[in-house]
Amino acid sequence: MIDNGGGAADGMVAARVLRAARTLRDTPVAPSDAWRREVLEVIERGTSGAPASTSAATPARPWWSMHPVLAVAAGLFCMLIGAAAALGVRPAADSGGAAASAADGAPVNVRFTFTAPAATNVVLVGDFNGWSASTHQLRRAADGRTWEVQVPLMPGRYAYSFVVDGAFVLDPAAPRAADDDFGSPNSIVMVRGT
Amino acid sequence: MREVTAASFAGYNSAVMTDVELVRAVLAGDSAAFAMLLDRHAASCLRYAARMLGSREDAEDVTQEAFVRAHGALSRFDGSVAFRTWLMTILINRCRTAMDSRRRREGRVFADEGVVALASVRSGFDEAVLRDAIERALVRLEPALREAFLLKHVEELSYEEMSGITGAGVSALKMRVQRACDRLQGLLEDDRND
Amino acid sequence: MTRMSCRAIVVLTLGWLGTASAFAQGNAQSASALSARLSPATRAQLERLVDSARASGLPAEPLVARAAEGVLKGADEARIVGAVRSLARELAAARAVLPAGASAATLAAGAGALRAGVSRETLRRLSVASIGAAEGDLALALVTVADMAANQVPPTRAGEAVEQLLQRRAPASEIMAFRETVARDILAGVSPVDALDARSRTILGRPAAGATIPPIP
Repeated sequence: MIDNGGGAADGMVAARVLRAARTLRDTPVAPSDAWRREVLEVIERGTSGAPASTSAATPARPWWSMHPVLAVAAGLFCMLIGAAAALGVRPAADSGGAAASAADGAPVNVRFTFTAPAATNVVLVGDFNGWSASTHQLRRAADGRTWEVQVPLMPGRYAYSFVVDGAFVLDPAAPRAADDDFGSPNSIVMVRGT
Repeated sequence: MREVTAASFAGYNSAVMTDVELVRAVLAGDSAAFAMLLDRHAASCLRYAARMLGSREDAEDVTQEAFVRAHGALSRFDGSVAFRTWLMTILINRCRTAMDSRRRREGRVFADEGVVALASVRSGFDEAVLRDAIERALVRLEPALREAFLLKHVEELSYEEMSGITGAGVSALKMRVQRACDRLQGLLEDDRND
Repeated sequence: MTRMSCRAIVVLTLGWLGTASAFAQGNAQSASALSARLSPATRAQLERLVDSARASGLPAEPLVARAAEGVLKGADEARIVGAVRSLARELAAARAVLPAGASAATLAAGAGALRAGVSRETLRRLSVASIGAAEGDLALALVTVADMAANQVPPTRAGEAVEQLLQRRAPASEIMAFRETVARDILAGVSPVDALDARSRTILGRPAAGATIPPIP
């Protein structure tokens, strides 16, 4: 690439400068987790005093809470380890890791919503409920236009679909799966562990 | 008009909502929605601020201020411009204020020439050299030229957008960008010849 | 208590924990749905397929789920068996090219990508680009590329763009926003290739013509 010479009046910019600008564009200045937390804390402090909302718009449960069933299970598990230790037996080497994964494996509450003011029945079907049309019925939200349901999901990837008055409908804003073995494609939800 | 739905990903820090929808959600009381806006826009804000101020630490402070102010002013965002544009306006003003106070405090507007690498990224060696060179050259540009260059060639805004954000006229901005490129070209040449 | 029975307690407890998971709950439902709606011959074929997949270390849940999906959607039994067989093949193919120890979710995402027409080479490149990245980033990348391919974006080009995002350690939110904007543009009538190109460089919004900026707070 030939440099342009300084400051051509017709506005051409030296290629090297543009290439240099591109390196800046391509170099991320990624926000650190600590910085991110701090920003959100400052904002929270500024707006504190408001009680936790029970409206449908807020996430149902803080990410650090455990599903009640797993909490009980984890408790029992700890008791067993404790009992084993009390008997003077060292638990198997992998139990420490297993205990960690019990906590790591807490399900995440995922809210599925669908806008269909004219529908009379909306159901969620997917990998997580064995594609059963009777497990996750969506309820109409207060605005009368959106339907929603909360599903606790373990981290992973799940295919799903809405059934709106009997018809399979994709979630328009979610990633699609190309799998169309059965004539109607599915949406994908990815749940990440905490 | 396309019906938009959202499946909230409680495990991920983003959702399939537009900026305008997220703003509405925040104003309706959904505190998680602001975190999604933060995650969507923080990196590019940090990138601009870091290049403008020449320091990651200053960039983090200024970007935090910008987001806090944006949060406080959300009810005044009416969607007539892109959220990103609106946010950049706030950020640019924070940057200008920071530079003014730096000048008052330290009697200079140029950051230390010993600028540490602002990000580590796996890029080619040539690119890394060029990026270093332009980072060093940028700190030697006067603020108004640096601002115009970053907005045009790194953030890739149009002159109209830049005019709205900075308050300067389009032809004044074009001149600033041209002068910045000329200066940078010279500085990069000198750098190469050192 | 012997060491052996202590380990047995660990295994039993873990097993019980396992059944508390939503996916396993789905499996329990799937199993009963399958028993009720499928002929014994088909059931036997499916059990063989699932067992042999499990024996070669592939995850069984996606296969069971695929069969349940077929039942719900009223597919005939031959088609259901064919679909499960294809998925098992795709999971195996994904495993061959994705990193050792990839999670079930990542394998399923890989299988989905292969189904969408993404090449093994692209899967391999994404795997390499995700080395050292956060858990789940590779699966997200695969889901993203599969989605774009399903929207007619040339899979190799989509793969290159997402590979760059992975290399730059873009946060999950950025990868998701990238996918959303490309999908939205395609829906608005932009050609898939143009949509990808336009969004590959930046995800900026643009103001409407004549828009004014509100007062600076």
